[in-house]
Amino acid sequence: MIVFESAGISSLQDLGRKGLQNQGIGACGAMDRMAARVANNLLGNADNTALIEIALGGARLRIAQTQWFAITGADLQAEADGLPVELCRPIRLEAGSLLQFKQPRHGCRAYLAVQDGFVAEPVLGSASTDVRAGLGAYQGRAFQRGDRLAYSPSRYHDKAVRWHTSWANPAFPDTGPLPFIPGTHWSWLDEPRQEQFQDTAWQVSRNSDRMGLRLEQRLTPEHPWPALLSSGVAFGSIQLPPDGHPIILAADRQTTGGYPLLGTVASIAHSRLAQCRPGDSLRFIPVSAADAVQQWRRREGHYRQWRQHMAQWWHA
Amino acid sequence: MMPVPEYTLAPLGDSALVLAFAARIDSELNERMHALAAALLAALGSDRVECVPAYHTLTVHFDPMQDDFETLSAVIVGMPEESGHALQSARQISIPVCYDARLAPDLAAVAEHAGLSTETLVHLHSTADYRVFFLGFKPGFAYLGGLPEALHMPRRASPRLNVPAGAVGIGGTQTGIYPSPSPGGWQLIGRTPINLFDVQRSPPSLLQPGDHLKIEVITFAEFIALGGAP
Repeated sequence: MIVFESAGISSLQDLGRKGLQNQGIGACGAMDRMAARVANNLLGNADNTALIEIALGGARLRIAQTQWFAITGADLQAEADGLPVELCRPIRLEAGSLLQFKQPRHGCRAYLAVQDGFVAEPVLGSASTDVRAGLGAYQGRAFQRGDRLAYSPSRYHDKAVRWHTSWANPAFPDTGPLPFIPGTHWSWLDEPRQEQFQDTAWQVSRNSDRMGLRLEQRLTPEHPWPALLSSGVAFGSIQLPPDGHPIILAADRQTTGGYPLLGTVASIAHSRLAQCRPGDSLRFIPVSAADAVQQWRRREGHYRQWRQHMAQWWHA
Repeated sequence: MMPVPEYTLAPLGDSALVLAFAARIDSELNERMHALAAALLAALGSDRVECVPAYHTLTVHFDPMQDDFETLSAVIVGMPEESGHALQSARQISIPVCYDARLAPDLAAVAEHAGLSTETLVHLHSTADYRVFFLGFKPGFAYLGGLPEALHMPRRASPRLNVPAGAVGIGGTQTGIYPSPSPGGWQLIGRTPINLFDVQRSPPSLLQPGDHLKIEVITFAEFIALGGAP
Protein backbone atom coordinates (compact mmCIF):
# COMPACT_ATOMS: atom_id res chain seq x y z
CA MET A 1 0.00 0.00 0.00
CA ILE A 2 1.02 3.58 -0.66
CA VAL A 3 -0.21 6.43 1.58
CA PHE A 4 -0.45 10.04 0.42
CA GLU A 5 1.03 12.22 3.18
CA SER A 6 0.46 15.08 0.78
CA ALA A 7 -1.00 14.75 -2.68
CA GLY A 8 -0.13 17.90 -4.65
CA ILE A 9 -1.98 17.68 -7.95
CA SER A 10 -2.04 13.95 -8.53
CA SER A 11 -4.51 11.45 -9.89
CA LEU A 12 -4.85 7.83 -10.92
CA GLN A 13 -4.53 7.35 -14.68
CA ASP A 14 -4.11 4.75 -17.38
CA LEU A 15 -4.45 5.14 -21.15
CA GLY A 16 -8.06 6.28 -20.92
CA ARG A 17 -11.54 5.32 -22.12
CA LYS A 18 -12.05 3.90 -25.58
CA GLY A 19 -15.10 3.91 -27.77
CA LEU A 20 -17.33 6.07 -25.56
CA GLN A 21 -16.87 9.50 -27.07
CA ASN A 22 -20.18 9.08 -28.91
CA GLN A 23 -21.74 8.91 -25.42
CA GLY A 24 -20.18 12.24 -24.51
CA ILE A 25 -17.64 10.40 -22.35
CA GLY A 26 -14.15 11.82 -22.78
CA ALA A 27 -11.03 9.81 -23.58
CA CYS A 28 -9.21 11.05 -20.44
CA GLY A 29 -6.07 9.03 -19.48
CA ALA A 30 -2.46 10.03 -18.82
CA MET A 31 -1.49 13.41 -20.29
CA ASP A 32 1.93 12.09 -21.33
CA ARG A 33 0.92 8.68 -22.63
CA MET A 34 4.42 7.77 -23.75
CA ALA A 35 5.88 8.52 -20.30
CA ALA A 36 3.09 6.48 -18.68
CA ARG A 37 3.72 3.53 -21.01
CA VAL A 38 7.47 3.71 -20.41
CA ALA A 39 6.95 3.71 -16.62
CA ASN A 40 4.82 0.58 -16.83
CA ASN A 41 7.06 -1.06 -19.34
CA LEU A 42 10.14 -0.58 -17.14
CA LEU A 43 8.38 -2.92 -14.70
CA GLY A 44 7.15 -5.40 -17.27
CA ASN A 45 3.55 -4.17 -16.84
CA ALA A 46 1.08 -3.84 -19.69
CA ASP A 47 0.99 -0.33 -21.20
CA ASN A 48 -2.50 0.32 -19.87
CA THR A 49 -1.77 -0.45 -16.20
CA ALA A 50 -3.07 2.11 -13.68
CA LEU A 51 -0.41 4.49 -12.32
CA ILE A 52 -0.13 7.85 -10.55
CA GLU A 53 0.25 11.11 -12.47
CA ILE A 54 1.83 13.90 -10.41
CA ALA A 55 1.82 17.46 -11.73
CA LEU A 56 4.41 20.03 -10.61
CA GLY A 57 5.50 18.20 -7.43
CA GLY A 58 4.45 18.80 -3.86
CA ALA A 59 3.57 15.14 -3.25
CA ARG A 60 4.80 12.97 -0.36
CA LEU A 61 4.08 9.26 -0.48
CA ARG A 62 4.76 6.67 2.22
CA ILE A 63 5.62 3.25 0.84
CA ALA A 64 4.01 0.72 3.19
CA GLN A 65 5.18 -2.41 1.40
CA THR A 66 8.43 -3.22 -0.43
CA GLN A 67 8.02 -3.29 -4.24
CA TRP A 68 9.57 -2.25 -7.55
CA PHE A 69 8.60 1.20 -8.83
CA ALA A 70 9.50 3.39 -11.79
CA ILE A 71 9.28 7.14 -12.26
CA THR A 72 9.18 8.72 -15.71
CA GLY A 73 8.08 11.97 -17.32
CA ALA A 74 8.91 15.24 -15.62
CA ASP A 75 11.96 15.57 -13.37
CA LEU A 76 10.26 16.69 -10.15
CA GLN A 77 13.42 16.15 -8.07
CA ALA A 78 12.12 12.89 -6.65
CA GLU A 79 13.79 11.71 -3.45
CA ALA A 80 13.46 8.53 -1.44
CA ASP A 81 14.26 9.14 2.22
CA GLY A 82 16.10 12.31 1.22
CA LEU A 83 18.26 10.74 -1.52
CA PRO A 84 17.72 11.50 -5.20
CA VAL A 85 15.90 8.78 -7.11
CA GLU A 86 16.96 7.85 -10.62
CA LEU A 87 14.33 8.32 -13.29
CA CYS A 88 13.47 5.90 -16.08
CA ARG A 89 14.68 2.69 -14.43
CA PRO A 90 13.21 0.14 -12.04
CA ILE A 91 13.79 1.14 -8.41
CA ARG A 92 13.15 -0.99 -5.38
CA LEU A 93 11.63 0.92 -2.48
CA GLU A 94 11.56 -0.67 0.97
CA ALA A 95 8.56 -0.66 3.28
CA GLY A 96 8.56 2.55 5.30
CA SER A 97 10.37 4.70 2.72
CA LEU A 98 9.16 8.21 2.05
CA LEU A 99 9.00 9.13 -1.62
CA GLN A 100 8.92 12.86 -2.24
CA PHE A 101 8.30 14.87 -5.39
CA LYS A 102 9.57 18.39 -4.84
CA GLN A 103 9.63 20.93 -7.67
CA PRO A 104 9.91 20.60 -11.41
CA ARG A 105 13.40 20.83 -12.89
CA HIS A 106 12.22 19.68 -16.32
CA GLY A 107 8.67 19.24 -17.49
CA CYS A 108 5.40 19.21 -15.61
CA ARG A 109 4.02 15.71 -15.08
CA ALA A 110 5.75 12.70 -13.58
CA TYR A 111 4.43 9.13 -13.59
CA LEU A 112 4.84 6.68 -10.74
CA ALA A 113 4.19 3.07 -11.68
CA VAL A 114 4.39 0.01 -9.43
CA GLN A 115 5.08 -3.54 -10.54
CA ASP A 116 1.81 -5.35 -11.35
CA GLY A 117 -0.07 -2.06 -11.00
CA PHE A 118 -2.13 -0.27 -8.38
CA VAL A 119 -5.36 -2.00 -7.43
CA ALA A 120 -8.14 -0.20 -9.26
CA GLU A 121 -11.63 -1.16 -10.36
CA PRO A 122 -12.11 0.36 -13.82
CA VAL A 123 -15.06 2.68 -14.42
CA LEU A 124 -16.40 2.54 -17.98
CA GLY A 125 -13.40 0.51 -19.04
CA SER A 126 -10.67 2.62 -17.49
CA ALA A 127 -9.14 3.50 -14.13
CA SER A 128 -8.34 7.02 -15.32
CA THR A 129 -9.63 9.99 -13.36
CA ASP A 130 -11.80 12.53 -15.15
CA VAL A 131 -12.27 15.09 -12.38
CA ARG A 132 -14.84 17.22 -14.22
CA ALA A 133 -17.04 14.24 -15.02
CA GLY A 134 -16.39 12.63 -11.62
CA LEU A 135 -15.33 9.39 -13.28
CA GLY A 136 -12.48 7.10 -12.32
CA ALA A 137 -11.40 4.19 -10.19
CA TYR A 138 -10.35 6.35 -7.25
CA GLN A 139 -13.80 7.81 -6.39
CA GLY A 140 -13.66 9.87 -9.57
CA ARG A 141 -11.49 12.49 -7.91
CA ALA A 142 -7.89 13.63 -7.57
CA PHE A 143 -5.84 12.29 -4.65
CA GLN A 144 -5.91 13.99 -1.25
CA ARG A 145 -3.82 13.77 1.87
CA GLY A 146 -4.54 10.50 3.67
CA ASP A 147 -5.60 8.52 0.59
CA ARG A 148 -4.34 4.97 0.30
CA LEU A 149 -3.74 2.87 -2.76
CA ALA A 150 -3.09 -0.86 -2.68
CA TYR A 151 -0.72 -2.91 -4.84
CA SER A 152 0.44 -6.54 -4.93
CA PRO A 153 3.39 -7.94 -3.00
CA SER A 154 6.75 -8.11 -4.73
CA ARG A 155 7.53 -11.15 -6.88
CA TYR A 156 11.17 -10.36 -7.65
CA HIS A 157 13.70 -9.79 -4.92
CA ASP A 158 17.22 -9.91 -6.30
CA LYS A 159 17.03 -8.27 -9.70
CA ALA A 160 20.15 -6.20 -10.34
CA VAL A 161 19.47 -3.31 -12.72
CA ARG A 162 22.80 -2.80 -14.52
CA TRP A 163 21.50 -0.93 -17.50
CA HIS A 164 20.13 2.43 -18.53
CA THR A 165 17.42 2.82 -21.09
CA SER A 166 17.51 5.25 -23.94
CA TRP A 167 13.81 5.76 -23.27
CA ALA A 168 14.31 8.83 -21.17
CA ASN A 169 11.35 11.12 -21.63
CA PRO A 170 11.27 11.95 -25.34
CA ALA A 171 9.76 15.34 -24.48
CA PHE A 172 12.93 16.90 -23.16
CA PRO A 173 15.87 16.97 -25.51
CA ASP A 174 13.51 18.36 -28.13
CA THR A 175 13.04 22.14 -28.16
CA GLY A 176 12.14 22.63 -31.82
CA PRO A 177 8.77 23.86 -33.06
CA LEU A 178 5.79 21.56 -32.52
CA PRO A 179 4.61 19.92 -35.74
CA PHE A 180 0.89 20.42 -36.37
CA ILE A 181 -1.37 19.22 -39.12
CA PRO A 182 -3.36 22.23 -40.44
CA GLY A 183 -7.08 21.85 -39.78
CA THR A 184 -10.39 22.71 -41.36
CA HIS A 185 -10.22 26.42 -40.56
CA TRP A 186 -6.50 27.07 -41.08
CA SER A 187 -7.32 28.42 -44.53
CA TRP A 188 -9.68 30.96 -42.93
CA LEU A 189 -6.56 32.79 -41.72
CA ASP A 190 -5.01 35.10 -44.29
CA GLU A 191 -1.33 34.63 -45.09
CA PRO A 192 0.06 37.24 -42.68
CA ARG A 193 -1.88 35.63 -39.83
CA GLN A 194 -0.77 32.14 -40.77
CA GLU A 195 2.78 33.49 -40.60
CA GLN A 196 2.05 35.22 -37.32
CA PHE A 197 0.85 31.91 -35.88
CA GLN A 198 4.08 30.20 -36.92
CA ASP A 199 6.42 33.07 -35.99
CA THR A 200 5.08 33.64 -32.50
CA ALA A 201 6.80 32.13 -29.47
CA TRP A 202 3.52 31.30 -27.71
CA GLN A 203 3.51 31.44 -23.94
CA VAL A 204 1.63 28.76 -22.01
CA SER A 205 -0.89 30.43 -19.68
CA ARG A 206 -1.33 29.58 -16.02
CA ASN A 207 -4.96 28.71 -16.81
CA SER A 208 -3.78 25.51 -18.44
CA ASP A 209 -4.73 22.11 -17.07
CA ARG A 210 -5.51 18.55 -18.13
CA MET A 211 -8.37 19.86 -20.26
CA GLY A 212 -6.23 22.13 -22.37
CA LEU A 213 -3.27 24.47 -22.69
CA ARG A 214 -4.27 28.09 -23.05
CA LEU A 215 -1.87 30.42 -24.80
CA GLU A 216 -1.14 33.98 -23.64
CA GLN A 217 -0.89 35.90 -26.89
CA ARG A 218 -3.75 36.57 -29.25
CA LEU A 219 -4.41 35.92 -32.88
CA THR A 220 -7.41 37.86 -34.18
CA PRO A 221 -8.84 37.16 -37.61
CA GLU A 222 -9.33 40.08 -39.96
CA HIS A 223 -13.12 39.76 -39.68
CA PRO A 224 -15.03 37.93 -36.96
CA TRP A 225 -15.62 34.29 -37.98
CA PRO A 226 -19.13 32.82 -38.21
CA ALA A 227 -20.39 30.65 -35.37
CA LEU A 228 -19.83 26.93 -35.93
CA LEU A 229 -21.81 23.84 -35.06
CA SER A 230 -20.10 21.49 -32.57
CA SER A 231 -18.00 18.71 -34.02
CA GLY A 232 -15.47 16.09 -32.84
CA VAL A 233 -12.04 17.15 -31.55
CA ALA A 234 -8.81 15.32 -30.68
CA PHE A 235 -5.83 15.51 -28.31
CA GLY A 236 -3.69 18.38 -29.58
CA SER A 237 -6.47 20.15 -31.50
CA ILE A 238 -5.73 23.89 -31.59
CA GLN A 239 -8.93 25.90 -31.13
CA LEU A 240 -9.25 29.60 -31.76
CA PRO A 241 -12.06 31.02 -29.58
CA PRO A 242 -13.47 34.51 -30.25
CA ASP A 243 -11.14 36.09 -27.64
CA GLY A 244 -8.19 35.15 -29.86
CA HIS A 245 -6.25 33.13 -27.27
CA PRO A 246 -5.64 29.68 -28.78
CA ILE A 247 -6.44 26.60 -26.69
CA ILE A 248 -4.69 23.28 -27.32
CA LEU A 249 -6.97 20.48 -26.19
CA ALA A 250 -5.53 17.74 -23.97
CA ALA A 251 -6.56 14.55 -22.15
CA ASP A 252 -9.67 15.86 -20.34
CA ARG A 253 -11.02 17.66 -23.41
CA GLN A 254 -14.71 17.47 -24.19
CA THR A 255 -15.66 15.05 -26.95
CA THR A 256 -16.96 17.79 -29.25
CA GLY A 257 -16.20 21.49 -29.60
CA GLY A 258 -17.60 24.46 -31.44
CA TYR A 259 -14.58 26.73 -31.92
CA PRO A 260 -12.66 27.02 -35.20
CA LEU A 261 -9.76 24.53 -35.45
CA LEU A 262 -6.44 25.83 -36.74
CA GLY A 263 -4.95 22.36 -36.67
CA THR A 264 -3.94 19.45 -34.48
CA VAL A 265 -0.49 18.86 -32.96
CA ALA A 266 1.10 15.66 -34.30
CA SER A 267 1.10 12.60 -32.00
CA ILE A 268 4.88 12.59 -31.84
CA ALA A 269 4.74 15.94 -29.99
CA HIS A 270 1.92 15.11 -27.54
CA SER A 271 4.41 14.34 -24.77
CA ARG A 272 5.83 17.82 -25.14
CA LEU A 273 2.38 19.36 -24.76
CA ALA A 274 1.81 17.28 -21.64
CA GLN A 275 5.11 18.43 -20.16
CA CYS A 276 4.49 22.18 -20.67
CA ARG A 277 4.41 24.38 -17.60
CA PRO A 278 2.84 27.82 -17.38
CA GLY A 279 5.33 30.30 -18.83
CA ASP A 280 6.95 27.81 -21.24
CA SER A 281 7.09 28.96 -24.83
CA LEU A 282 5.97 27.00 -27.87
CA ARG A 283 6.36 27.42 -31.59
CA PHE A 284 4.45 25.62 -34.31
CA ILE A 285 5.38 24.32 -37.73
CA PRO A 286 2.94 22.76 -40.22
CA VAL A 287 3.44 19.16 -41.40
CA SER A 288 1.35 16.87 -43.55
CA ALA A 289 -0.70 14.13 -41.90
CA ALA A 290 1.31 11.59 -43.92
CA ASP A 291 4.66 12.85 -42.57
CA ALA A 292 3.30 12.92 -39.03
CA VAL A 293 2.15 9.31 -39.33
CA GLN A 294 5.57 8.26 -40.68
CA GLN A 295 7.35 9.84 -37.74
CA TRP A 296 4.94 8.28 -35.26
CA ARG A 297 5.31 4.82 -36.78
CA ARG A 298 9.08 5.01 -36.56
CA ARG A 299 9.04 5.97 -32.88
CA GLU A 300 6.26 3.54 -31.98
CA GLY A 301 8.06 0.73 -33.80
CA HIS A 302 11.18 1.33 -31.68
CA TYR A 303 9.10 1.51 -28.54
CA ARG A 304 7.43 -1.82 -29.25
CA GLN A 305 10.79 -3.52 -29.80
CA TRP A 306 12.01 -2.20 -26.48
CA ARG A 307 8.77 -3.27 -24.81
CA GLN A 308 9.38 -6.86 -25.86
CA HIS A 309 12.91 -6.61 -24.52
CA MET A 310 11.76 -5.40 -21.12
CA ALA A 311 9.12 -8.11 -20.73
CA GLN A 312 11.80 -10.72 -21.44
CA TRP A 313 14.24 -9.13 -19.00
CA TRP A 314 11.77 -9.30 -16.10
CA HIS A 315 10.52 -12.76 -16.80
CA ALA A 316 13.88 -14.31 -17.73
CA MET B 1 -18.96 7.18 -63.23
CA MET B 2 -18.15 7.85 -59.58
CA PRO B 3 -20.81 9.91 -57.87
CA VAL B 4 -19.50 13.23 -56.61
CA PRO B 5 -19.49 13.05 -52.82
CA GLU B 6 -21.44 15.82 -51.12
CA TYR B 7 -19.03 15.75 -48.22
CA THR B 8 -15.41 16.64 -47.64
CA LEU B 9 -12.82 14.55 -45.81
CA ALA B 10 -10.05 16.28 -43.87
CA PRO B 11 -7.40 15.09 -41.42
CA LEU B 12 -7.91 15.98 -37.75
CA GLY B 13 -4.27 15.51 -36.83
CA ASP B 14 -2.61 12.16 -37.61
CA SER B 15 -5.03 9.95 -35.63
CA ALA B 16 -8.45 11.16 -36.74
CA LEU B 17 -10.34 12.49 -39.73
CA VAL B 18 -13.52 14.49 -40.20
CA LEU B 19 -16.18 13.82 -42.74
CA ALA B 20 -18.24 16.99 -43.15
CA PHE B 21 -21.34 17.99 -45.06
CA ALA B 22 -22.37 21.64 -45.45
CA ALA B 23 -23.18 22.90 -41.95
CA ARG B 24 -26.83 22.73 -41.02
CA ILE B 25 -29.04 21.36 -38.25
CA ASP B 26 -31.16 18.81 -40.03
CA SER B 27 -32.58 15.54 -38.69
CA GLU B 28 -32.15 13.69 -41.97
CA LEU B 29 -28.51 14.73 -42.36
CA ASN B 30 -27.83 13.86 -38.74
CA GLU B 31 -29.43 10.41 -39.27
CA ARG B 32 -26.99 9.94 -42.13
CA MET B 33 -24.06 10.73 -39.83
CA HIS B 34 -25.25 8.03 -37.42
CA ALA B 35 -25.84 5.59 -40.28
CA LEU B 36 -22.33 6.21 -41.65
CA ALA B 37 -20.86 5.75 -38.17
CA ALA B 38 -22.67 2.45 -37.76
CA ALA B 39 -21.65 1.24 -41.21
CA LEU B 40 -18.01 2.14 -40.59
CA LEU B 41 -18.01 0.43 -37.20
CA ALA B 42 -19.61 -2.67 -38.73
CA ALA B 43 -17.02 -2.72 -41.53
CA LEU B 44 -13.87 -2.06 -39.47
CA GLY B 45 -14.74 -2.95 -35.88
CA SER B 46 -14.57 -0.89 -32.70
CA ASP B 47 -10.93 -1.89 -32.10
CA ARG B 48 -9.94 -0.05 -35.23
CA VAL B 49 -12.11 3.07 -35.27
CA GLU B 50 -14.03 5.23 -32.84
CA CYS B 51 -16.82 7.24 -34.46
CA VAL B 52 -18.18 10.53 -33.11
CA PRO B 53 -21.21 11.74 -35.07
CA ALA B 54 -22.36 15.35 -34.66
CA TYR B 55 -24.87 17.55 -36.52
CA HIS B 56 -23.26 17.54 -39.98
CA THR B 57 -19.94 15.83 -39.31
CA LEU B 58 -18.60 12.43 -38.43
CA THR B 59 -15.24 12.32 -36.68
CA VAL B 60 -13.37 9.03 -36.97
CA HIS B 61 -10.54 8.38 -34.50
CA PHE B 62 -8.05 5.69 -35.48
CA ASP B 63 -4.70 4.17 -34.54
CA PRO B 64 -1.99 5.62 -36.79
CA MET B 65 -0.01 2.36 -36.49
CA GLN B 66 -2.83 0.61 -38.39
CA ASP B 67 -4.50 3.26 -40.51
CA ASP B 68 -3.95 6.70 -41.91
CA PHE B 69 -5.97 9.44 -43.57
CA GLU B 70 -5.48 8.09 -47.10
CA THR B 71 -6.44 4.48 -46.42
CA LEU B 72 -9.46 5.29 -44.28
CA SER B 73 -10.68 7.93 -46.74
CA ALA B 74 -10.60 5.27 -49.44
CA VAL B 75 -12.65 2.94 -47.23
CA ILE B 76 -15.20 5.67 -46.55
CA VAL B 77 -15.51 6.78 -50.17
CA GLY B 78 -15.93 3.15 -51.24
CA MET B 79 -18.70 2.43 -48.75
CA PRO B 80 -22.12 1.84 -50.28
CA GLU B 81 -24.38 4.80 -49.44
CA GLU B 82 -27.44 2.82 -48.50
CA SER B 83 -30.23 3.98 -46.29
CA GLY B 84 -28.92 1.96 -43.35
CA HIS B 85 -30.92 2.61 -40.24
CA ALA B 86 -28.34 3.30 -37.59
CA LEU B 87 -30.76 4.62 -35.04
CA GLN B 88 -33.28 2.38 -33.41
CA SER B 89 -36.89 3.18 -34.15
CA ALA B 90 -37.34 6.55 -32.45
CA ARG B 91 -37.99 6.09 -28.74
CA GLN B 92 -40.22 8.51 -26.90
CA ILE B 93 -38.64 9.53 -23.62
CA SER B 94 -40.69 11.52 -21.16
CA ILE B 95 -38.80 13.68 -18.69
CA PRO B 96 -40.43 15.49 -15.76
CA VAL B 97 -39.41 19.14 -15.54
CA CYS B 98 -40.34 21.63 -12.83
CA TYR B 99 -40.45 25.27 -14.00
CA ASP B 100 -41.00 26.68 -10.49
CA ALA B 101 -39.19 30.00 -10.01
CA ARG B 102 -37.18 28.46 -7.14
CA LEU B 103 -35.51 26.17 -9.68
CA ALA B 104 -35.56 28.54 -12.65
CA PRO B 105 -33.44 31.63 -11.95
CA ASP B 106 -33.62 32.92 -15.55
CA LEU B 107 -37.27 32.12 -16.32
CA ALA B 108 -38.40 35.74 -15.93
CA ALA B 109 -35.49 37.08 -18.01
CA VAL B 110 -36.18 34.63 -20.85
CA ALA B 111 -39.89 35.48 -20.78
CA GLU B 112 -39.09 39.19 -20.96
CA HIS B 113 -36.58 38.65 -23.78
CA ALA B 114 -39.20 36.64 -25.72
CA GLY B 115 -41.99 39.10 -24.92
CA LEU B 116 -44.08 36.30 -23.42
CA SER B 117 -45.69 35.59 -20.10
CA THR B 118 -43.89 32.91 -18.08
CA GLU B 119 -46.98 30.69 -18.51
CA THR B 120 -46.75 30.91 -22.30
CA LEU B 121 -43.01 30.34 -22.17
CA VAL B 122 -43.46 27.18 -20.08
CA HIS B 123 -46.24 26.01 -22.38
CA LEU B 124 -44.11 26.54 -25.50
CA HIS B 125 -41.00 24.95 -24.00
CA SER B 126 -42.79 21.95 -22.50
CA THR B 127 -44.97 21.05 -25.50
CA ALA B 128 -42.24 21.10 -28.15
CA ASP B 129 -40.96 17.84 -29.64
CA TYR B 130 -37.21 17.61 -29.07
CA ARG B 131 -34.96 15.22 -30.94
CA VAL B 132 -31.56 14.03 -29.70
CA PHE B 133 -29.01 14.79 -32.43
CA PHE B 134 -25.96 13.47 -30.62
CA LEU B 135 -24.26 13.23 -27.24
CA GLY B 136 -21.28 15.40 -26.44
CA PHE B 137 -19.91 18.22 -24.30
CA LYS B 138 -19.99 16.04 -21.18
CA PRO B 139 -21.17 12.56 -20.17
CA GLY B 140 -24.91 12.26 -20.71
CA PHE B 141 -25.39 15.65 -22.35
CA ALA B 142 -27.72 15.52 -25.36
CA TYR B 143 -27.65 18.08 -28.15
CA LEU B 144 -31.36 18.60 -28.79
CA GLY B 145 -33.10 20.01 -31.83
CA GLY B 146 -36.58 21.50 -31.79
CA LEU B 147 -36.45 24.57 -29.53
CA PRO B 148 -39.25 26.91 -30.75
CA GLU B 149 -37.76 29.99 -32.37
CA ALA B 150 -39.63 32.32 -30.02
CA LEU B 151 -37.48 30.96 -27.18
CA HIS B 152 -34.06 31.47 -28.75
CA MET B 153 -31.98 33.61 -26.42
CA PRO B 154 -28.26 34.30 -26.14
CA ARG B 155 -26.23 32.76 -23.33
CA ARG B 156 -25.63 34.77 -20.18
CA ALA B 157 -22.86 37.36 -20.50
CA SER B 158 -20.94 35.72 -17.68
CA PRO B 159 -21.36 31.99 -17.05
CA ARG B 160 -22.43 30.66 -13.66
CA LEU B 161 -19.69 28.84 -11.77
CA ASN B 162 -22.08 26.19 -10.57
CA VAL B 163 -25.09 24.93 -12.47
CA PRO B 164 -26.82 22.05 -10.64
CA ALA B 165 -27.41 18.63 -12.19
CA GLY B 166 -30.77 18.43 -13.92
CA ALA B 167 -30.90 22.15 -14.77
CA VAL B 168 -32.82 22.83 -17.99
CA GLY B 169 -31.34 25.67 -19.98
CA ILE B 170 -31.54 27.68 -23.17
CA GLY B 171 -28.36 28.74 -24.97
CA GLY B 172 -28.81 30.47 -28.32
CA THR B 173 -30.89 28.21 -30.57
CA GLN B 174 -30.40 25.20 -28.33
CA THR B 175 -32.00 23.79 -25.23
CA GLY B 176 -30.60 21.07 -23.04
CA ILE B 177 -30.31 19.51 -19.60
CA TYR B 178 -27.11 19.56 -17.52
CA PRO B 179 -26.48 15.91 -16.54
CA SER B 180 -24.08 16.81 -13.70
CA PRO B 181 -23.09 19.96 -11.83
CA SER B 182 -20.79 22.19 -13.86
CA PRO B 183 -20.07 25.79 -14.76
CA GLY B 184 -22.39 26.96 -17.52
CA GLY B 185 -23.62 29.96 -19.43
CA TRP B 186 -27.12 28.86 -20.41
CA GLN B 187 -30.30 30.58 -19.23
CA LEU B 188 -31.83 28.29 -16.60
CA ILE B 189 -35.59 27.88 -16.85
CA GLY B 190 -36.32 24.66 -14.96
CA ARG B 191 -34.98 21.49 -13.44
CA THR B 192 -35.57 17.73 -13.70
CA PRO B 193 -35.17 15.40 -10.71
CA ILE B 194 -34.23 12.56 -13.09
CA ASN B 195 -30.65 11.30 -13.26
CA LEU B 196 -29.57 11.51 -16.91
CA PHE B 197 -26.23 9.75 -16.50
CA ASP B 198 -25.47 6.67 -14.42
CA VAL B 199 -22.37 4.52 -14.91
CA GLN B 200 -24.31 1.52 -13.56
CA ARG B 201 -26.69 1.78 -16.51
CA SER B 202 -25.88 0.44 -19.97
CA PRO B 203 -25.61 2.66 -21.89
CA PRO B 204 -24.99 5.11 -19.05
CA SER B 205 -26.76 7.98 -20.80
CA LEU B 206 -30.57 7.94 -20.53
CA LEU B 207 -30.94 9.90 -23.76
CA GLN B 208 -29.61 8.35 -26.97
CA PRO B 209 -29.28 9.76 -30.48
CA GLY B 210 -32.57 9.66 -32.37
CA ASP B 211 -34.70 9.69 -29.21
CA HIS B 212 -37.63 12.08 -29.02
CA LEU B 213 -37.93 13.87 -25.75
CA LYS B 214 -41.25 15.00 -24.31
CA ILE B 215 -41.45 17.18 -21.23
CA GLU B 216 -43.93 16.42 -18.50
CA VAL B 217 -44.50 19.53 -16.36
CA ILE B 218 -44.39 18.85 -12.63
CA THR B 219 -44.95 21.00 -9.55
CA PHE B 220 -42.33 21.88 -6.97
CA ALA B 221 -43.89 19.32 -4.57
CA GLU B 222 -43.69 16.61 -7.23
CA PHE B 223 -40.07 17.59 -7.94
CA ILE B 224 -39.25 16.99 -4.26
CA ALA B 225 -41.30 13.78 -4.15
CA LEU B 226 -39.33 12.44 -7.14
CA GLY B 227 -36.10 12.95 -5.21
CA GLY B 228 -35.15 16.38 -6.52
CA ALA B 229 -32.91 18.52 -4.32
CA PRO B 230 -33.71 22.25 -4.66
